[in-house]
Amino acid sequence: MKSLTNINPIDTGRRDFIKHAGTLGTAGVLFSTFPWLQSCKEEEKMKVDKQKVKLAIIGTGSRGQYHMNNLLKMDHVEVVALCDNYAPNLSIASAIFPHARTFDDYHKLLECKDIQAVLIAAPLFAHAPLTIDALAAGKHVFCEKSMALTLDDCLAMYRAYKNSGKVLYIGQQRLFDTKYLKAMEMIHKGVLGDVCGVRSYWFRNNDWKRPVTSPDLEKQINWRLYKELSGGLMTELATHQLQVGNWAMQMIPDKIMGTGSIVHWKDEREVYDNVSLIYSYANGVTMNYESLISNKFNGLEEQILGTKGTVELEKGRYYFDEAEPAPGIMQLINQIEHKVLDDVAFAGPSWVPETANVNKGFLIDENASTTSGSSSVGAVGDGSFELLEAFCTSAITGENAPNLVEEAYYSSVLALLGLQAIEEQRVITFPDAYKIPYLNFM
Amino acid sequence: MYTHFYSSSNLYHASVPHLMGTRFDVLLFGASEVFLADVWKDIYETVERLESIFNRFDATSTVSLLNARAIHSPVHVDPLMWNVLLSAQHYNHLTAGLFDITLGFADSVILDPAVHTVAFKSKDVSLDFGGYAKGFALQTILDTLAAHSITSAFLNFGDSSITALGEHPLASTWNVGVSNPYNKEQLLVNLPLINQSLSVSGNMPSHPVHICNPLDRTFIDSRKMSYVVAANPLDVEVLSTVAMVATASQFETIALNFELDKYKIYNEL
Repeated sequence: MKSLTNINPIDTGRRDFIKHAGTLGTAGVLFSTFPWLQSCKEEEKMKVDKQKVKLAIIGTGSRGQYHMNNLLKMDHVEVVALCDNYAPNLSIASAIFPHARTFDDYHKLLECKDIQAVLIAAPLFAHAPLTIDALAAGKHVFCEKSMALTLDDCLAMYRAYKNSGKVLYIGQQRLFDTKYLKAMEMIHKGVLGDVCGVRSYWFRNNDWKRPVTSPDLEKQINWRLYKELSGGLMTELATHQLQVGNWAMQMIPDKIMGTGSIVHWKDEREVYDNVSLIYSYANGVTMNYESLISNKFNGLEEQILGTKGTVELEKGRYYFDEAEPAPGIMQLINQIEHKVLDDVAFAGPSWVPETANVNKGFLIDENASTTSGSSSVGAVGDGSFELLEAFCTSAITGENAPNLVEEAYYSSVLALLGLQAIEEQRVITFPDAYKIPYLNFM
Repeated sequence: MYTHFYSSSNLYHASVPHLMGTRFDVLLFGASEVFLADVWKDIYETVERLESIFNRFDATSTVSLLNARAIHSPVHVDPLMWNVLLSAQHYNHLTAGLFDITLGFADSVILDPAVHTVAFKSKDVSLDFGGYAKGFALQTILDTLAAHSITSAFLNFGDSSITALGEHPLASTWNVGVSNPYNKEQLLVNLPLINQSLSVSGNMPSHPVHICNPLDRTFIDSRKMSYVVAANPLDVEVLSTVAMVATASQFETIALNFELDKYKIYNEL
């Protein structure tokens, strides 16, 4: 059970996810503000009481195994089939779910009538054909982000989903991360002023390569490094963060420019190890994005810059520019805003102002976990568990997660447009052909 | 300065990082954003004006000028400062000398009621309104709020000088917990406030000995903390400091001179 020890499952407080997220808002407000959380409602969970969705997993590599370990802790799912064309991973997966049937060809898996839903954790280039075929076969689909390797495939996936009447979830787990939900509520309420800028970055210091036992397996294992199979940093990392920027802005950018290069890892790889882009929104705000994998000093972050303060979502902290309201006062305000009455303990002998010129800010959520961003697999407490659990509920009820696919679509398309801007060395205007009705592109 | 209006609650929040030597937070309720912003403007200007009077670290403040000049010749003060000096003298009498803006030299301050002048008989006199100014500011702000017909507000100087005006929007009282300064996780007491003020004085891990008994000029390290709750914010400000230096029986006697709702002295924490 190697994978069980490698991946720490989420096990604390997850049952209280909505209750916890709701401390900043009544349930009604929470679900109308973040409609993709519908399946997390208590009444939705009641609907699926004692039911289990029969789920198949396609792609049993590291991310697939991460999901499997979370699935072991969920009530409404039975993993009945596993599929991979890489036997060692399939063998590990089979050890986790010994009763699940195994396949090396997904077409055969999709023919199984008893399988109601599939979880796709395969490499990016396979997302579109797998998802489209699975939807056509009448399965509900959870597909990892990014959606697809090309703009046309992203659109094809979206259309297949809209025409299928089936459930589609894309793995944008930050949409289910409590600290993000709380922070977005603060941002949208204007607590930090008007959003005037977005800065996101993801820095690592490793070659992003996995060992291969034979040169024949290089592209199968290290698919992230080859352009025909992956968009590199943009599709594997930036997608998450571009979605966060749009979420904060409640808008999709319409101009994209950028540059990229291979600065340090000059091996046989084809994808950039260094990218820097600017996404420009119609109101003049820009989202700056930077990623490189030869220095990890800065880690990862999404900074939402407001006229009154800043949120650092990955660190789960917010800061005020001119003054820091007392934490006790902020607690009082939150309670009044959300009609929650509780004792607030903050009084004491005189508070002494700090003399050091360091703004430590405030925690968005005392219980939230944070990550260094160094793992290529997934982090504990980052919303992945809740996202997948919501999918299992949706797969039973047949009710989709409103706006989730649209959020994922635009983050994927923006990552690809970023790559196009880098490749063509020009400013890209968001092409009308790839606009789907959502937010300012409605 | 930070301000924000929460429209769903009609709540106006203003926060200033450094005013009267500490952080100042105000919550105002029950009117439009424009109206409450005007009220806040009045409050801020009032407190700024008081700071320009009481701030010993501002060489141009009224107190600094008095401290520099009153030893040389009588200094005329305006009606506000005159009333403050009389009030401080009154508190000095009511607290058996344990509240003292001169730290033991009260007899060396000569107030001339005929011409409203102040003179110091000793060069050791230095006025310090540290245990008075925030309470006076809160009292003044209550007048400002009344003038604007604001009936619900929460005022907080540095978490230690707090006034709750009217009812909490969701309940009758504002429940304010007092934490142990030596163990922030520990809630010592929960105080329901309505039209009341709370003042907390005490030593802290960062400042273990900083409160002085004006009668013998010794610093207090045998007592950890005190709090006082009453309708009058100036009374609680003065008495929470007095509670740190008075003996238990002394304080019981002193308390009879005031209308206190609640108080407690912690010798150990």
